[in-house]
Amino acid sequence: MQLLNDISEMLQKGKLNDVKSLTQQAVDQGFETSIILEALLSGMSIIGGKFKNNEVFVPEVLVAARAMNGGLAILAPLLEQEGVQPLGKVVIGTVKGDLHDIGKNLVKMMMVGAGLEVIDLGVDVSPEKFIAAVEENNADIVAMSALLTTTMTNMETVIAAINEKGLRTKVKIMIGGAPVTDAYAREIGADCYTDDAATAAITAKEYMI
Amino acid sequence: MRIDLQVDCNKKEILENIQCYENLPNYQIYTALYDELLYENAEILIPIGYYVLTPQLEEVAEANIEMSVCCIVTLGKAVDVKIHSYFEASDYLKGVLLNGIVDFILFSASNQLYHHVFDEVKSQGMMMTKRKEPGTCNIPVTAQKWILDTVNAVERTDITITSGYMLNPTKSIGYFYGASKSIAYTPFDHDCSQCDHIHCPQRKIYVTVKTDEKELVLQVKSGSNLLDILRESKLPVQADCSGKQICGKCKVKILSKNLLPSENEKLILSNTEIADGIVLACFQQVNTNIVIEIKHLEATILSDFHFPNIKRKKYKSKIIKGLLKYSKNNKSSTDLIHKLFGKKYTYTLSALRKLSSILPNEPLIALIKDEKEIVHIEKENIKNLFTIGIDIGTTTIVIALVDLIEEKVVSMYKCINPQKTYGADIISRIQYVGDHQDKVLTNVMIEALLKGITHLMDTHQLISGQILEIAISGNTTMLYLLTGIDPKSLASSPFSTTHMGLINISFSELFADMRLSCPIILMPGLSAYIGADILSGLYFSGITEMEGNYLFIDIGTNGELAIKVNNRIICVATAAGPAFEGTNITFGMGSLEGAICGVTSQNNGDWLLEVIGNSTPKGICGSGLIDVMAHCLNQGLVDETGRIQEGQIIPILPSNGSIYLSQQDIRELQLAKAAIAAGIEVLLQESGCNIENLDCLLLAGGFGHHLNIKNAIRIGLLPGGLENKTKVIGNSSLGGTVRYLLEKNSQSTLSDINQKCEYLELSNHIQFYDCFVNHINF
Repeated sequence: MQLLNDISEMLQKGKLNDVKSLTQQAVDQGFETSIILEALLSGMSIIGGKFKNNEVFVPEVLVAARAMNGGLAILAPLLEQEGVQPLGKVVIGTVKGDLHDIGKNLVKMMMVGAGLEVIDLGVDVSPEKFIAAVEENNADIVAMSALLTTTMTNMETVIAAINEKGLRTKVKIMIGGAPVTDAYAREIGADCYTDDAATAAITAKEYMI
Repeated sequence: MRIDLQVDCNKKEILENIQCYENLPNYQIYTALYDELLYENAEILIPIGYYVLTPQLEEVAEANIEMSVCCIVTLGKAVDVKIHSYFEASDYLKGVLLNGIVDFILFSASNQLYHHVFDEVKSQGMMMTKRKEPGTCNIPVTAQKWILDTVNAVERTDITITSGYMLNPTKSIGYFYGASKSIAYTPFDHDCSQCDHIHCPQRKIYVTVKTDEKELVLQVKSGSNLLDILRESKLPVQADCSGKQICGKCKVKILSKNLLPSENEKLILSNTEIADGIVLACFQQVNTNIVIEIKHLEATILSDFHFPNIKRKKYKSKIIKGLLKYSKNNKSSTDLIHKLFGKKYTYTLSALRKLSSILPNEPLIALIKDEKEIVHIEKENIKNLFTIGIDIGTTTIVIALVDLIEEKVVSMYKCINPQKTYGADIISRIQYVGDHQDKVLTNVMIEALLKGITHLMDTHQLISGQILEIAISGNTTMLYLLTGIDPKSLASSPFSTTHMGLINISFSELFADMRLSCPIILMPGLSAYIGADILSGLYFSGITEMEGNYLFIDIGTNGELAIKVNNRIICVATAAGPAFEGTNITFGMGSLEGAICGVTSQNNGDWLLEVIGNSTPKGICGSGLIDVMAHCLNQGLVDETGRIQEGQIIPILPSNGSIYLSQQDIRELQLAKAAIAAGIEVLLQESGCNIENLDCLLLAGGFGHHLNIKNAIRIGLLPGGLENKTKVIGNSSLGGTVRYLLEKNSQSTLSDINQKCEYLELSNHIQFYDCFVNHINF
């Protein structure tokens, strides 16, 4: 169990190479893949929690996430082989007319770190694309981002399209971005607005449990 | 109009924007990553600005405004792609950091564009409104399209706009200004206080600073440290400990009453100060608009020295009655001069220029330097030529304008060393340089010297050609900081140096400025702690060329001592610390206005205070401290071990109890005086001299000016028996530069002294430590 603790510790310190070699070591020693995955996710979850409490800062979260991706890359083929299902599936994108993706990318990063599979549709995503991705992947969550008040309204359009397709009961809808507020989320019928990437990941995870 | 703009980055600010704070364990990694990103992406980080003047858009039209200037600043698509690629590769930190760098570059580029736009609008007889950005200040986001269309109609940009009115590439900003003949000048480009982007990392707040003479409004980054803000704006504030939250000197009054002292500040501030709204700048991060008041540091700086008696003059003029009669064989004018005097000279370019304008039959006067170089030529009457001597002290800078024909100081310029805001002593400044890796200490010094030189030239209406030479003296650290030589090694054992010899340099090279074209010399020094200031002082005093035995003492931030016995000159530097300049003493201060500089004891035992400038006492300087200590000993208030006999403090200004001496202050004083006394003892031993055989004690520096010798002897700073053998020589470091500038072959005289001086390191000297311990008691 010391090895799994070490994986979590190194991940929290953002040591990419250590996390990679320890993960490989755990695989070689015959640990169950899902247990190794749990070690990675717990490390990331601790960092996310500390970030929310202002105990660590942005750069530490970023390097931890990078280290986690290094470990995940080793586990990914094994998880697929063993048919391990992710905690849930998220379709994420920046809405039509909007090109900003830094915030969206950070949310994706944290959600992957929470054990979710994230399908990233990129920027300037039309409602049709959102719908197609939800149907194709049988997604559990739709996450949308917008930077301007003029593009924010496209979130409502996407929700309308989801309702129209009868998919609303199947998915949770999360929104975020500079002009977005709690009130706006309620107004357009989204499930929630989250203020930062760490909270978005925690909320998404809660939806899936 | 398309303008190529500059890449302007503030590393610290950019890193802080993404929470890479200096105190984080991995900060070095982040800064290395930052450097790497800037280097790697140098080719794509090219900010370009566009602006186009156009009639107002109806939707955003304002009364009294005729025109709009549509502006776009952009960095191009490649940057978007690069940031995206870092995220794809899970290199999140690189992605976020490059994004931060790019945002900063864009914002700064827009500030640069402002100046271009402003000049253009002004040239058309108009003034501009503040910056207006779509999506803020009631400007609809849709105006973005109008801005882009206006720019694209004139300039060929690759920028497009999405259905949601977002510019593509995303690293582009569009905005406009109103322009009109009937509006007044607005001091700021972008007014953050009016902006809706309250979470913008570039958001600025306003700090209004009131000083005795002016009021100014600074636009600074929210969350900035108040001391940093004042430093960057070159505002005078004392920060002896360089902002480490120790010294309690960076007092600022908050007039807007919206910044309160923290618990830790309250421990340092008095109750009266807390009630007055005083805070300590180094403790305060400013997140909201504030109005503050600061007191000017400017002061009576004691810079006097007796003008040196120059026997052999550096500059001599020779009259030539006309070159015509020598002119034959098609020889050049300079060949004819050589023939006339039977000697070859070198020439300055300005002398040659002048020579070329004089007809062969006209008489001329040549000014010759050190009998080697013709530096100036006039048709008649050489006058109004000057040299400049500069002394850079740790605390003060003095610049003397010297008439080299009349041989007198015409004018002096004095100012507080602007580096003082980065620490009172040289160690904290060297640490600042080491911690910040920037040239700020060099830059502020260069600026201060240029300001002083310009002031003197303006006052006397001088032009470049009238200044023939500049000589600069100062301690080793000051000269290294001035020239940008890394001073790091000076701060720790074995205190090695890079170069101690005299440096010849041109004005333009040292100052990166074309105001003057004369040569500059930096006086030579001996070691890290026996700098040019001491050598210059010894040269000024003349003791090295005189018969007899002399002791030379310069007590400043440290105590430097030299003894001249027979043909030997031995120098030592004692780590006396800056107690005599007021640092580490609760109410200590330099010899500035408001300092108690002398205390006499009246018959009834009451103390009579002498205050510099006869103003309200603010604190106590070195000489005052010595007087107080002597009276305390005489009156039995403190015993010979330095212990205060009754209570915790010795009140100096008892009327309101606001100035006093603490037990700790007395301990600091004991260490300082013991170091100097021990230094003197070691020097006497090493040179085989004793007090009786000393001809004179020379006291250099501002410290000697008010010093009561008897009291200095009473507290054991100076040995007994010197009462009637002491001479105060003032600012000998500056005096040395003046002598250098006027005396013939001074360069070689100075290097002779340099050769002759022996440096004795005290930090590993066996006897010094014993002497030091013996001198701690009074």
